[in-house]
Amino acid sequence: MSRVRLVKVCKKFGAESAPVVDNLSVDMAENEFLVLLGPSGCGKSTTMRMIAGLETVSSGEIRINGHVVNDLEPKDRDVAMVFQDYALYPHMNVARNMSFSLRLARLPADEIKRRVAAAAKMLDIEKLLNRKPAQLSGGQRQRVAIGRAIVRDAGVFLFDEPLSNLDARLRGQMRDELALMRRELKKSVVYVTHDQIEAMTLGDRIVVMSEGRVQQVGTPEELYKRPKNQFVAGFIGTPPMNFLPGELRETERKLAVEGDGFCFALPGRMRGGLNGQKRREVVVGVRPAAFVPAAEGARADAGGRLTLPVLVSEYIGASSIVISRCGGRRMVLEIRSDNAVPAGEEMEFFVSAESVHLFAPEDGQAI
Amino acid sequence: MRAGYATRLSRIAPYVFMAPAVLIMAGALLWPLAHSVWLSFHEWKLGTPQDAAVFTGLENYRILLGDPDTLTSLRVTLVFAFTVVTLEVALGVGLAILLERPIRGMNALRSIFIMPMMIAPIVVGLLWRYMYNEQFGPLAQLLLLFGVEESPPWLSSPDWALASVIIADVWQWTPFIFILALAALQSVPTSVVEAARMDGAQARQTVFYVKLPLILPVVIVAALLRLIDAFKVLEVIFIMTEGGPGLSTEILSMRIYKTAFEFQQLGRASALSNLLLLLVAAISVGLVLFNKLRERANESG
Repeated sequence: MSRVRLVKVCKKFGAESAPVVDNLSVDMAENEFLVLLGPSGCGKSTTMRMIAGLETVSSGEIRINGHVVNDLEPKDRDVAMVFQDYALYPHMNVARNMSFSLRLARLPADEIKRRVAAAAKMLDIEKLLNRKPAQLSGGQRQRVAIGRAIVRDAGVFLFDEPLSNLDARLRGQMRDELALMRRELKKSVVYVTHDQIEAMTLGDRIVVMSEGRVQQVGTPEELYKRPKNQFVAGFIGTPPMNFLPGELRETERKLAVEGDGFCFALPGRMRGGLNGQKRREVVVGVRPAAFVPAAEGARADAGGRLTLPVLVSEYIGASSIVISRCGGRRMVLEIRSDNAVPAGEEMEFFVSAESVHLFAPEDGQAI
Repeated sequence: MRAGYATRLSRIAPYVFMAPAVLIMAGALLWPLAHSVWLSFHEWKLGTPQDAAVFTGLENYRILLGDPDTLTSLRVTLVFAFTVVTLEVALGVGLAILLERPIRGMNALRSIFIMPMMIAPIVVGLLWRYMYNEQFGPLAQLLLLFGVEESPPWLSSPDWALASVIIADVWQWTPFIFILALAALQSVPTSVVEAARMDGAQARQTVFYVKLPLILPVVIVAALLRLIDAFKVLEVIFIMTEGGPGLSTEILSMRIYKTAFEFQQLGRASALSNLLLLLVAAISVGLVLFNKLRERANESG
């Protein structure tokens, strides 16, 4: 029902300064869970605050349900927000925290009671209704903050890094609960985070931002498999993608990319990247998991074979992280622990041609 | 053996460290207090040797409590103290809320607002006596500009004098409440105020439902400090009216001063100051208890 649309939105703090958000356009589908992802200072929080109405828009339009809301007060925008530090009213108990907006809107007392009870039941905080925020744990405060947003029955939910104040275990748990809850709520959600795991697990689509600009918008799978540029490729995925300088060239109708210590054959369809030239400098990107130890058997689509020294081998359970070096560059590989060899030895890997990404060295755009 | 010595030493160490402070407190506070209690049971004229003091038991207290002038003075003190504190809290908190937002030149403005508090009370007294001067005072001049030829009898009429000294005290001490309230307001998290805005609270509602409740504990303590001070104020009134005209501004501390140094009855002055001490203590304890109860009621829901 509710959707948010940003049209060429810019935000500058001070007329002379560089824009914090630069010409941002995103169209949200109905009931979509949209994640704004990026490193700190990329403008994602500012974008959310503009949607919320806590920050003015320098230029461009923000539309909610088809209406331009640039000049509307937060309460008139059909949005509810969950703050990073929860921002509960310390002097009110949980029930009063949750009902504050409804009391301001002068809803009938029994309606307020009904909504608070429903939200409390959903969040499993019924026993906490008479407590003050100071008497709650971090996870409980988080629930109350979400409850406060739910009772307002707004069409769009805004989450500003809601899990970043929780410890790792609780964060994982709340993440799962949010995923469950959003299915139940059927609301549009804009979710800001710098944590790509949160983004990947929760988002229908992710907007990757850097320096105020959108780098790529897509489903988690699209971003992982087909990053549009080197920034997205390096930001999505843990451990991050390995980048090596190389040269793309065609010899005897065979396309290959070669660099210091490696040579991968590529499928012919990537020929377009040459722009008709014979050779071209590129940045080669390979994900840590794309290195398959030769011990697992050769793969039909293998683009290349390379032998790498194992400098450090980090056992983390089912898989192991191998730190290596190729052409003087640090490489991070992720392999099944069964195939790990101790540090100091060498290992042979296959790299599938499909998992080789090429980027233009000038602007980082994918080839 | 050594371990036992160390344990014993660490046990007495706190007392050793506290001893100087305790001795100073005893010398500077408890001794005069005890002496004043002793004195209040005697009749002793200023200037005579202490041997000449005559034990009179509770006579001083009996005379004081039977004297209608004491009750008038008590009434003036209560009116003065509660009026100034009420006005100072209302104005101080109000100004803090108005001046909290970031506006250019606000720092300079804040500094100016705080100035009166820095001025010695004697000087404040002189300043306001001049302000109220019915012929040459700035107030009289100002009224003249508006065509008011005859200045109100600011300090010369019993009907006006108390209000006039109240204005002077409010002028001097509103900044005290102001800076404390401002500091408390600035410690209210921005996100809580923003949450209220998201919840649909207007600026006025944010003030009354969020900001004021959050700074209330600080304001209560500040008001309590001011109340204790207001009961003991002397200099400003001494300079401006000396308690007059008649008894219209004769607060208890003024009366104590007169009893001691004009009527030279040290015993009776001591008795009166003990009564004032009891009054201030009773009111303070009452307010602290009230605050405790309020907090407890808050915590339970």
